[in-house]
Amino acid sequence: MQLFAEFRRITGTERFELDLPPGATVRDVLSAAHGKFPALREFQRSTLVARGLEFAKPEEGVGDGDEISLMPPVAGG
Amino acid sequence: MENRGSRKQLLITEQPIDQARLIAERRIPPDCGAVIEFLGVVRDEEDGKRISALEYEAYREMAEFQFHKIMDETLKRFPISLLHVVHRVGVIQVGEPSLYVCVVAGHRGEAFEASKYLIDRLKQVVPIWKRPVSGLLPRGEGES
Repeated sequence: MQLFAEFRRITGTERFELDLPPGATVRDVLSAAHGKFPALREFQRSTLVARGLEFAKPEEGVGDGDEISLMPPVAGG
Repeated sequence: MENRGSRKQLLITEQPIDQARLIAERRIPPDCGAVIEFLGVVRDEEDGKRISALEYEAYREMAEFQFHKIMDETLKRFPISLLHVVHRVGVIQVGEPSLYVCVVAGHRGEAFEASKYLIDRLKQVVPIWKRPVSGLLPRGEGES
């Protein structure tokens, strides 16, 4: 998993791994990440999740080896 | 990554945006009568506080992917000929551009609309973030 922007600074972490059971969803990934990094919980509502290079919905399934990224709302331009 | 020779060009770079060079290198097709250029420039205020610069960071691989996706959307939605985007990352001082968007089209209507569409979409889906660098002053302080 990857963390970006403010999430990196809050946790002091850029990359980490999670072990999840088969059939896990993006929602499960987020929950597990919050368990590992409780400081991210306050950003739960605004957290964007990407699976690979596309944004993912909470109900989407995740597969073994999927690159999941957690990030704050984007602010380019 | 640039895509010279096609209808779209994209560059995400840490180098300053050289608008003069971009203009010099631009080739306007003979059937196009409108060129819209937009520069997004760092302002001296962020969240009500005076700043000296913004630091932009990107999830580079996904940003390029999403940029190409929305550029393709823009080219499909509007009858434009060329679309060129440069987004700078890293520390950018107040007054310097962070974003360059150029649309070349037959007429001004679609050129204006396409540029607005592209910019609105990038603010929704391109994973780039910005934060003020040190030198943050509450508004009103430091003013002569």
